[in-house]
Amino acid sequence: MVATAPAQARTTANAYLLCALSWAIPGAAHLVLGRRKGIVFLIVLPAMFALGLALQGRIFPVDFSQFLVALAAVAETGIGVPYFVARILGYGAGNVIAVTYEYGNTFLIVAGLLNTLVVIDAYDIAVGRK
Amino acid sequence: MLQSHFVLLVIFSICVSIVFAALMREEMREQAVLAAKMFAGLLAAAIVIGWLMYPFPI
Repeated sequence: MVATAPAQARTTANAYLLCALSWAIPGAAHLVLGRRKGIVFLIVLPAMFALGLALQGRIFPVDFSQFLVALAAVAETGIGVPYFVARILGYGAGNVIAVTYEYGNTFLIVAGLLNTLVVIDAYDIAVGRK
Repeated sequence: MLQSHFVLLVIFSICVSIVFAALMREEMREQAVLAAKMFAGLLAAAIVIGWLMYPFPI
């Protein structure tokens, strides 16, 4: 029991690191763990996020005075690095009168939420549940 | 083309189906089957619900 505790702690630490990697770059943790489906996440999720920006969706500010806006912002940060790249490059201003505005928001938010599921899946694989 | 709600709905359904299938199945063939089923389900549900809402004013 004493001998396995450090190994267990190391496994858990590695799993958290993989979660961080998976959050930052969608699918990267799956590729590190030898799962080829990581390529699917690496292509589809950033593509969804980019499409959301192209459809003039909005990258919402983290503003807790407006609860739904804050929720949308938290969901969008789930995509990781692409979120911060888009913000730095000035994308995601959102055009509320565009026909595709709501679709754009949907793509942005769902891309972030799906990547959150990918992070959880990476954790499950890392700790040996899958 | 990217202003068509139907085209956007199809693209969205394809993306979501692919990601969920990859998450829920390990084998490539099983993933393809599940993705196809989910895509068909999403598309059918959207069309059916769209028609059900048709009589109601916005």
